[in-house]
Amino acid sequence: MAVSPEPKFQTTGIMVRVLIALVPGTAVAVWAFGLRMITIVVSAMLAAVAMEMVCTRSIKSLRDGSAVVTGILLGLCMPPTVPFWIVAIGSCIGIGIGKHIYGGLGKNLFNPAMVGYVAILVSFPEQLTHFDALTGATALEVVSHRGSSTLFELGNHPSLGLFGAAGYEWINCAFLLGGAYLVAVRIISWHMPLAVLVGIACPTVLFFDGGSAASWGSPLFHLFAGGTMLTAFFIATDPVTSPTGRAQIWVYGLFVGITTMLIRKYGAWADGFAFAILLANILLPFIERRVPVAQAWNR
Amino acid sequence: MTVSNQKFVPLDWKQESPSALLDRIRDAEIVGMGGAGFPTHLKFEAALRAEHRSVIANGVETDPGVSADKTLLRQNGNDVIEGIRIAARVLNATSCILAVSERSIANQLKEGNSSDIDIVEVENTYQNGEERVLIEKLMGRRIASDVYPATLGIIVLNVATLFAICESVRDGLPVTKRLATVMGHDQWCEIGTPVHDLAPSSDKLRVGSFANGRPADSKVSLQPTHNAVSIDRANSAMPCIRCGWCDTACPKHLPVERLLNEATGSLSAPTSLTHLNDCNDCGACVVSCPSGIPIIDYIRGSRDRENNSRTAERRASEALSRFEAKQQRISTRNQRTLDDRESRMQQDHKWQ
Repeated sequence: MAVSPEPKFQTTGIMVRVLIALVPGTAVAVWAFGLRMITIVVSAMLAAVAMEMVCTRSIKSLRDGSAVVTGILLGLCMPPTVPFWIVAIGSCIGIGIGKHIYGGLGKNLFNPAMVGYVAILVSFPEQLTHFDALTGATALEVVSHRGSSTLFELGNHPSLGLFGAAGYEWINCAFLLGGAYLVAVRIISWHMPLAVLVGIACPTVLFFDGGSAASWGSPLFHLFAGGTMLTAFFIATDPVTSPTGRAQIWVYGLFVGITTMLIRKYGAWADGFAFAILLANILLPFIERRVPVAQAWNR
Repeated sequence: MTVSNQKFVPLDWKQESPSALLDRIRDAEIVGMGGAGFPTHLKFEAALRAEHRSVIANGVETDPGVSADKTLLRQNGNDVIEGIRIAARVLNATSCILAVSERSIANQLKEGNSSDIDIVEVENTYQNGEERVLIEKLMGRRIASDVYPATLGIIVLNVATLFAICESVRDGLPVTKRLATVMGHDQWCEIGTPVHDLAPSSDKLRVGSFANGRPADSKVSLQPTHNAVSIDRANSAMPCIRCGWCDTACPKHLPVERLLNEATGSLSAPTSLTHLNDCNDCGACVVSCPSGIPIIDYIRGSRDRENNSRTAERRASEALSRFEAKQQRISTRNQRTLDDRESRMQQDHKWQ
């Protein structure tokens, strides 16, 4: 007779499934960029865990797994050439300033991984933006700063792969796979990733004219370049810093996608998802106040 | 069931008049044992004013981890069915439905019972045991939240209540004990036992299921409405990560997460009393919460606070209007006295 139903997942269970979903993306990143990626991801994770323990002064706070996920996400945003100590600094800033200053898990206003990423992105631009040709950000730069040449003339550039950015296209495919798993086990709803991807696709479809000098790069290229899939499935869906209402999710996701594209096209940075997420986080209270949630029953 | 327990004369309900049966139900002080605790005879009286009457026996027990009603139906199913027949006789009901949530129970009860009672198996999903939801499932009638189903002639009675009706009428027994799920085990408990004596090993308890029960301190004793005693998990709750699963789970589509965060103070928007009063305390949000937060405690807390402050405001404004009315009366009376005196003085003057 003893029945003890549990919630469908505990918070720890959510984080464990997120980690499972990150496995294919991480594996492909290691395959594409070499074992340096492992060093980067592991150092980011360890620094995040250490910072979490320092901030909460307890080891029990690790049981929810959120620090591990933050660290790994930050590591996966990194270009492969970055020194590991910079990543560790990013993790510490993300966990310390991005999360615990606001009161810890559930109370942070900004996505901790993105806070850490942006902090080191603006502090160490040399190490984080100038790297070898095998990376997506470079491909994004090549497309963005190609001057008067058409996309067709860029066709054989070594940084461009089959349909996305070399290397990153397969990483994005793997993150898409992991994200599909998260949707399948109902950790995340499909609305947020779709909203982000639509937000990225819309401007590219509107301004893609077959590849002239003024064109934005093909929609396919942008969907499979840089951190697109990572953002759509793993970063924008962070429950703490994203809205919960259906309409609010769409507003938030479209904002993230379109802002990412605007930064990719007009911004100083090659990829814009981190800034887009932080801007969307800033707008979140506004979105939650202005966009209506569901109506009550019987009314 | 000893004779010494008897308080009333056993009645042969097939012969007695319906009003005598109703008097017995009132004298035995039977209340709704599904959780509401509404006096059963009042429900009957409300239904008697309706044109057509039907009885629904609610054996759909969907509270997580609670199985008292199921066990009651397995052990004393025929007594419950007799209770339904008594209720049907009191009301002269046109239809009787017994809704259960398990096929084995339905099959067990169908054997050897004539077909005057419809035994219906209802899907064992959360909320199907709620009065209005159950009526909608069984009869296809949607009843608004401000209409009381009994006034429409539809009486929904918990199977434990029907068992109590049967015992009080047939055996003359008052309600002194009930079947309750204590820490996962169904047992007959004397009503009035301190809850902590029922489960001495645990210090944090809830009466009711872990989803929508209320925290019980050492003073709480078992009431007829308590169908379970379970562990309080509030202490092991983790922070809210704003996943929004409570919003999805809420059968009333309330913005649960917003209400929770307003209650805990991490969101400062004004609480909407409509939302709070629409909540019917089902506890689906608690079941869905991955962090194990007792959301319902916060919602009840802010609802009580809101309602109390509104009551206080209303009382204050009523007192003010009473005070002003009194001032008005006093000043009118004074004025009248002055006027009278004035007129008398003028009359005196004439006399001189």
